[in-house]
Amino acid sequence: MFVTDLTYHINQSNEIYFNGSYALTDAAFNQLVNVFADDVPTEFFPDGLPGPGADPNSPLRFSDYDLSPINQYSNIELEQLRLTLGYRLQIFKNMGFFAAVSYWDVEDNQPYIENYSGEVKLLQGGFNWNF
Amino acid sequence: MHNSKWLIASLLGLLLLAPVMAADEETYDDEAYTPPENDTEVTLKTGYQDGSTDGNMNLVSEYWVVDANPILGLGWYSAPYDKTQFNFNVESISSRQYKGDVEFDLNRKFQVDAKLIGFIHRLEHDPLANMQGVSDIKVVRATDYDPDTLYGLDYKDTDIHAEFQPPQAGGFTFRAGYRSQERKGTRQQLNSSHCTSCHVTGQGREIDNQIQQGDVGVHWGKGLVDLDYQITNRQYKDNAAGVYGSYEAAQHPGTTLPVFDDRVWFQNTTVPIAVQPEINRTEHKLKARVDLKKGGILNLTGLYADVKNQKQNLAYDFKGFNARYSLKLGDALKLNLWGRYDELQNDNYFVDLLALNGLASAPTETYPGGVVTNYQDWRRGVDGNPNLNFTTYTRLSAMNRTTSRMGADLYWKPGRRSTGLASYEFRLIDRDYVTLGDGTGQSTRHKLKLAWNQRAYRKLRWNNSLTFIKTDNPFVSVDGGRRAFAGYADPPANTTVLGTAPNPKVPASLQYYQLQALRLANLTAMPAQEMRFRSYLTWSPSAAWALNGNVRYRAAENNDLDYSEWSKDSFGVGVNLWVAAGPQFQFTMGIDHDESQTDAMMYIPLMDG
Repeated sequence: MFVTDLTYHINQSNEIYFNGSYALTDAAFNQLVNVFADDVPTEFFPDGLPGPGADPNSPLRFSDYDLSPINQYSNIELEQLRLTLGYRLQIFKNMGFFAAVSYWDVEDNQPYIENYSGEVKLLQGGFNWNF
Repeated sequence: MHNSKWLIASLLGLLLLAPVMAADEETYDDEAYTPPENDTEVTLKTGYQDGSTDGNMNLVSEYWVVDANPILGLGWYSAPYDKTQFNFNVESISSRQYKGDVEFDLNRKFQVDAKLIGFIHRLEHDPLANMQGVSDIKVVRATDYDPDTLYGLDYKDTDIHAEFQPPQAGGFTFRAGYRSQERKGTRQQLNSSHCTSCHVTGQGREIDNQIQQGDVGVHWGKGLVDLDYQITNRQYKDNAAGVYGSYEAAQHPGTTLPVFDDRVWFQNTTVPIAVQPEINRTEHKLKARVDLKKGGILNLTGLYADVKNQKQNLAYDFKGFNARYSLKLGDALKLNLWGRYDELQNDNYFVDLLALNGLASAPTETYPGGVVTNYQDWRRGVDGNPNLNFTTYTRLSAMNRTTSRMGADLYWKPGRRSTGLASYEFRLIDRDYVTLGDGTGQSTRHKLKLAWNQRAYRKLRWNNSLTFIKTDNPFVSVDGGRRAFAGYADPPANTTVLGTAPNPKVPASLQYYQLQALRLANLTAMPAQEMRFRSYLTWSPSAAWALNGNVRYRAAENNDLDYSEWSKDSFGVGVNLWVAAGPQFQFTMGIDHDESQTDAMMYIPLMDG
C-alpha cells in the first residue's frame, strides 16, 4: 500500500494538488495436504491412498472428485492505482476556478469468477462563487 | 470525451461568470484572502465532469458515477442572531451521487441536524463459467439467464435528529430522530435445482427495499443521577417484484427415470425463491447512571426488543440487561466490574408441507410389487417406526438461548507514561434446543487479557496485549462428518459398495439417510483453546514523520473433538511509514503480510451422503 497526498501553493491564488495511491493485494491458499485415517478402505481409492510419505503434489482424488486445484480458486492478485492531479485558481476575490484529472486502474492478475480489470479516466472542472 | 458537452459547459461557465465580472472588476491579487465577516455567506459551485471507461467497473469505480454530468454545489451559512446558527451544504455530481447536510442551532436549546447521501453501488455478476462438468453420469451445469446485465444499486440515506431542552424544565432533554435507507436496482439471484449443484442458475432480480427508523427519547439529569429512555421503531419493507426459480423434473441422472417423485414436493415448475421478509422491530431502552462520588460510578441498562416478520407472522423477543460499576482505587488503580444477561426467544414454527405446496396429499411413487405409496409411509415401513413424520413438524429455533457474561477489568497506571490492564471475562451460552459434543447446549468461556502500554520521551509508543481463551464445549456440528467404515457399528445395508445409486425402489441399496446416519465425527471451526498476541510500536521522532510496526499472532486449537483435531495458527506483520514534510505534503507507505495454516477434517458429500 502506497499513499501520497501533495499540495503545492504556487502563490496565494494558485494551488496544485496531487493524490496518489497504489495497493497490491496478493493472497492464496497453499495446496491442500491430505492425511487419511488408518481405517479408510483402500478399495475406494484406485489411484492409491495418499497419506504420510506420499507426494503432497499428487492429485487428491476421491471417487470422481479431484481436489488438487482447490487452492487455485483462492488466488487473489489485484493491483489498484488511483491518481488525481488538480488545480485551483482564485480568479477574483469571490470567484475561483477548479479542474482535476483522475486516472484509476485495477489490474486483476488472477481472475477467477469475474475479471475485475478496468480503468477510468475522469476530468472535472468548474467555478466557485462566494457571496 | 464529448467535445460538445465541454463546449456547453464552458459557455455555461462564462455565462455565470459575467455578472461576477461586472460586479467586481477588481482582479484578485496575492493578498491574503480573508473570509467575509458577514452574518451570511453563500457559496456556489458549478462544473462539469466527463469520463471514459474500459473494462470492468465493479472494483475500479464501485461507488462512483464516472459518466458525463454537471457538478452543482450550494453552501449557505447564516448567524443572524446571537447564539443562532444555520448551516446548509449540498453537492451533487448526478442525480445518483450527492450529499448534503443541514444544521440549525438555537442557543443550544433547540438543535436540528439532517444528513442526506446518495450513491451507486456496482455489484458483481457471476457468469457461472466455472460450473460446467461431466463425470460418469454426474453432470454439473449452469445457466446465466441474464448474461449482459450490469447489476447495481442506488443507495439513499436520510438521517434527521432534533433535540430540545425546555428552559423551564431543568434537567430534561427531549429528542427525536428519523432515518430512512433505500436501495433500488437489480442484483444477481443464484438458485440451484433439487439436485443442489447439478443445475445452478443466475438471473436478475429487482431490488426495491427501505428501512425506516423513528425514535423518541428523553434524558433527565440532575446532580449525580442521569436517566435516559428511548423507544425506537424500525421497519423493513420490500416493494420489489418477487423472483421465481425454475425446478426441472427430478429424474435419475443416468436413466432419466422419475425415481424421485415421492421425495420432492414440487418439480417441473417455477416457485418463488429468496422471499424477502417484512420486519417490524420495536425497542425500549432504559439507562441509568449514578455517580457515587468516592464510591464509584454505576451504570445500568435494560433493553427489550420485539421483532416481528409480518409476512410470516413470526416474532422473536430479545431482553438484555447490563450493569457496570467503576471505582478508582487511589491514583494508580481503577477497577471495573460488569455483568450482562441476554435472552433471545423465537416463536416456534409449525411446518405443513401439504398446505405450503397447496396439495391434498403427499406425492407418491410406485414401489416393488406395484405398491403405490408416499415416501413417509415407505420409510415408516422400512424403519419400523410409525411415528416418522416428514409432512408436518414444528421447527424449534437454534437461536433460542440465554447468554450470561461477567467480568472485571483492573487498570494500573504506575507512571505518566505507563498503563497496564488485567481483565477477566466469563461467558455462558445456554441453548434451548441445540445439543453439542457433551450432550448439552451449554458453552462456557473464560477469557484472560493482559495489556501494557508504554511511552518513552513522547517519541516511542509501545502497545502490547496477550489474551488467553478457554472454551468448554464450543459449538460443533454433531456427527457432521466421517463415515463409519467396517469395524464400526454399521447397519447391514452398509455392505453395499459406495456408489450404488440410492433408490427407494431397491430397498437393499444404501440410502442417503443411512449414509448420513453413519457419520460419527463431530466437526468444528471453533477453538477450545486460543492465545492471541499483539504488539504495536510507533516511533515518531518529530512531528514530520512516524514509523509504525506491528506483529500479530494467534494460535487456536480444539483437541476435544472425538475423532479429529482442529487447529489454526495465524501470523501477521506490518510496517507503515507516515511523512508530513510540510502542511502541503503528506506521504504514507506500508506493507502488511498475513499468513495462516488450518488443519481440519474435511468431509466430502457424495451422492446425497
